[in-house]
Amino acid sequence: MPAAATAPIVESAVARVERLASESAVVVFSVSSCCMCHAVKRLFCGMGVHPTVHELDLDPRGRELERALARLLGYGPAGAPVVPAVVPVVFIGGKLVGAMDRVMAAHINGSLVPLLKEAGALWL
Amino acid sequence: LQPAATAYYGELEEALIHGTCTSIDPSMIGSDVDTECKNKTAFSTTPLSFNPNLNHLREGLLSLPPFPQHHRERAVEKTFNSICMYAAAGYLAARPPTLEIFPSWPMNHLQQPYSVSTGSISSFTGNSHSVGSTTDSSSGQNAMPQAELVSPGSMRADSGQQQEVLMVTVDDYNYEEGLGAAATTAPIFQQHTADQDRRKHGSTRKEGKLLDAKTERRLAQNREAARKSRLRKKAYVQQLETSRIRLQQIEQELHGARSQGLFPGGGSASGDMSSGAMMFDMEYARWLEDDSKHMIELQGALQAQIMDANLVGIVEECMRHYDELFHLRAMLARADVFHLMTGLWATAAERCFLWMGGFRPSEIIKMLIPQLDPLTEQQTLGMCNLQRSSEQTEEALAQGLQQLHQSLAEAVGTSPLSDGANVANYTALMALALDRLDTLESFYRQRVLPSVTFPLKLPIMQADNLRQQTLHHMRRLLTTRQAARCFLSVGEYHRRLRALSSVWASRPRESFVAAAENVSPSGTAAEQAVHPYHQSQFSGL
Repeated sequence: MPAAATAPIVESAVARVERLASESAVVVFSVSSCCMCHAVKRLFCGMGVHPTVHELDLDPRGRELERALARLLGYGPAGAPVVPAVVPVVFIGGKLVGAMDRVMAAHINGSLVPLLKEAGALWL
Repeated sequence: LQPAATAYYGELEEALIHGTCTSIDPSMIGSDVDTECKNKTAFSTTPLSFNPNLNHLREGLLSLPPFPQHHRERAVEKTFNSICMYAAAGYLAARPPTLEIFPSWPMNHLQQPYSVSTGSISSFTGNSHSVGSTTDSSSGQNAMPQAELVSPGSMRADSGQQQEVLMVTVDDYNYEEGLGAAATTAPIFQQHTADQDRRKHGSTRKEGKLLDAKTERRLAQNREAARKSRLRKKAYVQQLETSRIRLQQIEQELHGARSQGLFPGGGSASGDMSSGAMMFDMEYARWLEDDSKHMIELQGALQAQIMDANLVGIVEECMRHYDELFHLRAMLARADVFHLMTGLWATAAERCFLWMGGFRPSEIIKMLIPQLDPLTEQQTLGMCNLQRSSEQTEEALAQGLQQLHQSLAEAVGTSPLSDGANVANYTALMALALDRLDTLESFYRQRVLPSVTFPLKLPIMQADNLRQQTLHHMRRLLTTRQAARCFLSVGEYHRRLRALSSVWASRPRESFVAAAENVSPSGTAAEQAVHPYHQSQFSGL
């Protein structure tokens, strides 16, 4: 994403994450080669939801975003640059849902669908 | 001619003694003596696998070039006999689990060695050349034995006594005896050929003269001896059969005990298990024992119609027990994901229905819903929603695993350098690998293997997570009694799969006698061809 020409305000990674997360009803931070990211994308598509996907490996600031996500998820701030399996990270309605296991648990206990409806990602 | 045959037999014998097998190309065994050198080069030693090569051996023996009678008789008798002995010994020594000494000798083939040997023997009493000429053509080699059996008429042309010998031969040896004959010792074999010789001579004399008393007595004694030895052979084969079955049973038990972890240090026959796998197998065996105890408790508590406070406790205990299993499985996924995924910890029938290393939640729910009658509307809705969401999640996980398969297939199938090496690098690396296998091995261990096993455990662990979530949610949807019935049904379902596996594993193997009798319809045709008198008996019916 190109910086503004006039005032080069560098957005912090966390702020960027939060901004991106609130831009759509369902936002998934992913890595294109990650199989669990693929699974979560398929899950949403199977439910008729079309999430906005940000592939971190295709983003020039991807590493920073990944670290920010790790911190949001509660991993130690002094963690290694590559935290094992941070992605996929799902936001619904701007709010953090979590990684694959959280999304799955939410779906099984029936709380995912109301959340999606509330965010406007699902009708019916 | 004889040295060639003796040499040939000698080599066969030697090869069998040394436990190697020879792939004998029958078409190369020509009656042309000049191809003796070719015969020798036809031998190639391959790793031990007797079954196909016994066929070769038989074919080789059947396609013998003709020899003068006395040489042939002795050579055939002695060598065939000793070869069969060594074959049997080799089988017993090298492959104890399967005493399949005569695996591929269906009925018609089995009778050929005897009929061929005796037929050939008798064929040389008269016209050695006429028969010899038919077998000189290498193309007709293998057709010779069949010709002898199927069209005795051609033999009849040579000499009247030959056909009778053939018929007597086939008549005397049913399948079992034929089997046993080769496995028994030399004297019996020789006894039979001697019997056949005597019978042959006796039958010719029947045509014209009276038999003198001495000959008659001798014939009777021979018949008696023949009968006795046939019985002995039958008993021996029976003994072999039961030993084989017993051996298989023991093997099964051993394997079963090993897979349950009851045999420490049991590096299973299928390869060495990692320590993580072995530990899991042991813990899982204990888990299964506790599981069956819980099942009994559940059943007892359910049958007591009143709502027992105990039941709540038992159901909670069952839930906790499953949580413990998922914990064990998570540890196994980190230690040895392949063991978990391929279901080596499970029995055969369970393995058949494995989904991502375990049960498929939506299937279990589908199975349980009808068993839980009566359900309230809310419960029904909840269970159906659970089934649907489970199906969706299962589908997503399966697709995730599939994507992983694809990327791993690329990584494993192509260049070992993970950063997309070009062909030159790859060739260089391979050249290096050819000289330094340890380099390649360490590369695989440090780079390739982790990149395979690390991501693989992710979908598997998520699948286990799904199973756990599903069970917990189901528990919340249902009453205690209904939940108890669920746990009981799930436990019973898996117990039945395990029972099915053990019944399957201990199924009686068909004896190869019975199996072979069902095998070749052509055998009956061959039989009928040489039993025209049988047919005439039934023609009036």
